[in-house]
Amino acid sequence: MTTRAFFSGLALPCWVRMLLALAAAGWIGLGAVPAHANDALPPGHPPLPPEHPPVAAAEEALDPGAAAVLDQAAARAAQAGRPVDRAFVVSVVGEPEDVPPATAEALEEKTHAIASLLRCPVCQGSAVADSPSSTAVNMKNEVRDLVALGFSREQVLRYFEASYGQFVRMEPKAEGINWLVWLLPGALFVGGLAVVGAKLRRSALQAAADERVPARDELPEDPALADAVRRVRELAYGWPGGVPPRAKGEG
Amino acid sequence: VNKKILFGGLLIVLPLVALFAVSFGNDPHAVRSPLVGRQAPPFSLVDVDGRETISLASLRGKPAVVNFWATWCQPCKAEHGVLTRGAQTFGDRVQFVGIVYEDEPAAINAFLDRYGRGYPALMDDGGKTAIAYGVSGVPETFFIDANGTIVSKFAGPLSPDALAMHVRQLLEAP
Repeated sequence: MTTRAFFSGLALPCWVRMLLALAAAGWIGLGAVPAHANDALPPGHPPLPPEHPPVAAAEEALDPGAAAVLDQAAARAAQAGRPVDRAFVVSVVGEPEDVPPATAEALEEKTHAIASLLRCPVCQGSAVADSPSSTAVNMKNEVRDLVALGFSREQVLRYFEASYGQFVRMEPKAEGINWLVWLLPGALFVGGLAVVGAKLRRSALQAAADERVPARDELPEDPALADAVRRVRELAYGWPGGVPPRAKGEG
Repeated sequence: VNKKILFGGLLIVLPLVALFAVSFGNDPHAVRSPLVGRQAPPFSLVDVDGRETISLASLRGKPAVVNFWATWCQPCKAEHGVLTRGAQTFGDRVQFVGIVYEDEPAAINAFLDRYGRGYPALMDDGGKTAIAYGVSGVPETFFIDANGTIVSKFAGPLSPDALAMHVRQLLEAP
């Protein structure tokens, strides 16, 4: 079992998972563990549908044109498929709030943007837009169909959320405990800056204090310490009473 | 021990320990479906032979067990026997419907020839029905009452006991 698979098996709030994933991927250097989604499933969970061979994903990553080909294939499949049950979608999210995109490019652009905000339920933390799995392709086709009917971004997200739960959103909604996800990283950053700033200031003050050499007749504020310093001066320099001679002459 | 360091360390470690303590034992995949208690999404699907169309509306009036499955899914093979027997046992009171997820008619027919045809197998081309039901893996089973409300959902292969339990709950639903 990979580190990532282990962490994804825990019911942790996503910001903790995010931190753990960051730690695993970036700092510890265990990043990019290409585990098949099925490896990460807890025992007893149903297996996930087969995905395209990883070669397809690799090729897609290498060749930007391949993504477009994949999109075209998805578009063809969408045309051949069944239409969306508009009445049902309206019963879930209300009448379309947007106008359908005017051009095929605009439709594809908006579809991709929304699919980037949807989590692919059979993949490990990747968006529908980034996964070649058949489930993700189906979901992307659904998004395209909904956008073509004029449903807005928020309506499409709400439609998927109604059946999959909030898990399907890549970005948790800013409400309730989710505010932690949005605010905590910033708060931690500001807090970290404050700590670093305080440390720097203190060490700068310390350096300034270290550089200053006390004058020969200067005494510490603490009376007991001042007495000790006077005694040392008397012993070391032979000053009677520890008072510098010139000061005595002046006094 | 430097108290400041100890305090700072505890401040970081204790919440994490608490989080782990709470989260261990929870299955993050066992998220309760938001559909439970709501009206089941409608569907109108053709069976694998293309002969019969079954819709959610046509199931109204009698509770239904809707099972999403696939031939490439190993646990579905064992579950198929459980559901076939369930359809024989409860068939007079509950309708059993299978919706095939991401699969080909040839493979489905071969599977049904081998493991038996106890209830309809419907095709969900493009997966629109699976999406409406929030299916994220197979098998997943929805228990729908006579009014079309989803009473419960089960993710994973049903054991005979689990099936009997959910069907009983379905029959007792008001």
